[in-house]
Amino acid sequence: MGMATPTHERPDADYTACSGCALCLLVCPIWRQTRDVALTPLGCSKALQHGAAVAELAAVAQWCNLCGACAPVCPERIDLVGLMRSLRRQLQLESIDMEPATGEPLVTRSALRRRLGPGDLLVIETRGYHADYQRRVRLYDGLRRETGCMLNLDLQRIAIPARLPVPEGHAGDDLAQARWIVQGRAIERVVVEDPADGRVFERLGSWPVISVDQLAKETC
Amino acid sequence: MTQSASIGIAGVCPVGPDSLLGISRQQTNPSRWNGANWADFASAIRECGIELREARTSTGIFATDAGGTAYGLPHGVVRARSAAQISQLLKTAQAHRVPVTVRGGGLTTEGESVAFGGVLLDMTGMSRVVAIDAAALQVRTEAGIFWHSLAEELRRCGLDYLSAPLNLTSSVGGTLGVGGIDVNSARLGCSADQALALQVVTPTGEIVECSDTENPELFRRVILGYGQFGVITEATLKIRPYTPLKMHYFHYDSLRPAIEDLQMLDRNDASDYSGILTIMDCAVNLLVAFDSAEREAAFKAAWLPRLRGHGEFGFALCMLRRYALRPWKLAEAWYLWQRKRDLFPELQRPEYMRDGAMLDRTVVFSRAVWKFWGGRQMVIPDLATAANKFVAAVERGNAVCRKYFPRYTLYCVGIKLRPEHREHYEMSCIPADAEGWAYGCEFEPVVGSTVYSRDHFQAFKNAIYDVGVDLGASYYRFGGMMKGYIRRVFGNALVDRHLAMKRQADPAMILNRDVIF
Repeated sequence: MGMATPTHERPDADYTACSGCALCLLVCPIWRQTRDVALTPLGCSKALQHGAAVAELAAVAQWCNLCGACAPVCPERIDLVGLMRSLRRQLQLESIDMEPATGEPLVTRSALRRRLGPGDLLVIETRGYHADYQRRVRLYDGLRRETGCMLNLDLQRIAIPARLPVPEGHAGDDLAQARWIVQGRAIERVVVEDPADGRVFERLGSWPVISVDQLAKETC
Repeated sequence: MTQSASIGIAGVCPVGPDSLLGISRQQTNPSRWNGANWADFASAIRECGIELREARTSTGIFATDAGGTAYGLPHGVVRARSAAQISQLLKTAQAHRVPVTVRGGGLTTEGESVAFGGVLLDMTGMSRVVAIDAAALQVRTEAGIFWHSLAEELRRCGLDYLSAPLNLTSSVGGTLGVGGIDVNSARLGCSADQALALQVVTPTGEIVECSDTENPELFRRVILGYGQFGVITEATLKIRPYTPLKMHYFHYDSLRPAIEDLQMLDRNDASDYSGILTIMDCAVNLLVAFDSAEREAAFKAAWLPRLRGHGEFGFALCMLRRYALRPWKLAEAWYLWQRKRDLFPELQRPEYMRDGAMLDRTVVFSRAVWKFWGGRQMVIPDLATAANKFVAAVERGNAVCRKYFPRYTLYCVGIKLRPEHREHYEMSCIPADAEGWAYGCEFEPVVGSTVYSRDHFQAFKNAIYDVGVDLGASYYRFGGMMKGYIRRVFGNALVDRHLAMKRQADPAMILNRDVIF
């Protein structure tokens, strides 16, 4: 059974509270890829503070994949994911699987933990991780200590999504995120929580890629 | 608030004699540029293929800085893409006399990175690491990069930068222009001293490589130059192997012994990291940290017995005694307990610790800074002095804080000076009379949800800076709204000499105008 984010940790402020600290920008995969502040939660909040109409924010809404990385780092507790969802709804953009999976991560089962080792890169599913950040950051940290596996976490312990589809009409590299995740790491195997991430790593390199589901089946 | 904050001050008021007069208000906010020739300039820029964003939704992103008390909108925003693009921008701006304000992380507090009209050049567009030379322990990076992003790249190679501000969103270029203080600066110097070479676009658009040996005069002016003599587009920096650090905290119930102990440790190279962070002036934390077990053991053997600070238990007893004798100050005791209860676990979150060592000090401290001190308005006046004046500077600054705010924090750190860089330090945060080390103290009110007027903030800053004038100190933040102090601190002769150099380098006075001159 999953645990929902405790009420006191849920972001509850709106864009008017943004003070411009830019911590959300650092973890935003769109910023990492484009280096364009206007396409980040910071840019979106500041634009709204200066009277932007929803239509003027179409680009940021198109880029955002609702990974949720921005939410746990915001010191003002702004509901940035909710803001982006609202924009997407108003712009009638194609629906993204909106609700993060909140169940207990399969990989934390003891039988599966024993199958992970220092050569494994475990690619965490980002939306579920960020939606339940306070609990899962410690849970995965424990997993790393126990198994020595690598994780797709940055220095702030925010998960880097493996996929960031480039919207139509924009230049970009849809493998850039995955390339950054593997850069400088001695990887022997990629273990993914989300099978769609597995397809990205299969395109990217020659490591064996296995999903946690498959690992579970093999364990049984 | 001011009334309650001033209760308890007795004897001679330590605030500088002319502080309450302040500086005239109109000196603090530059007038908005009038927009002359903007249409022609915009057209010329676009003809060069440079994207210029003029919509309010783009310009509004940069309406203020981290201080949140200076507001100004640029006419347009240019995202930095390359030195060649910036060269073209500056050449065109010179020709049309359009001001250009350069911005990295926007972490100024006095409006130095706010554009009051003209072009805002967003340097974060240039934030890629160019090359890492692990053998030579050097990195070449675009200057708009945040130190945090640089750290992420270096860590993949088992490397780290030497020293950088304890703030994730400081940019390399912005930091090199003003100083950059870390908790290891007492050993390694300020961030600006880590620069080996720079690529600079001058105010007239020339792209120039400079260092201590190549175009040294430009290098001297750009380092710690507050952005007056060029736009730093790339930097070569010294780096080092990455190490987690072992942190120790010592608690004091007054400032003077903590500062004296800090300086003793610095003088004797007793630790790798050192600094003071207060909750109040009766709850002073000396932090001391080490890169290696050997250094930590040497400290424990030789220096630990000499420190006058307490451990957790000893300090708790000390506070019990203090408030038992002052029961009318129980609200203060409650605040201290709450603050400590909330803050210290944040500095020891298990995901950032391994075997008792802190893995990512900048992440830990920066997140805590924004969480516990951040807000929509921040004023952080500071004093930088020679070592022998520092105790007096902190005590007098502390008295000013008490007078203006009920809650505030002081952050003190030493800065090792490099004698061969003395010319870099001219008219900068490094005081001219400092030898060996300079010391800096930031005075930051804990504003919380209280609303203060800008006048109250300004009067507070003036009072702190008046202490500096009286002591012959310098400041980290002497530009923008505080530039009224520049001539009082540095004197007319030095300022006029720098102004003449600025006029020669930037004939139309377009680059970061109103920040210093």
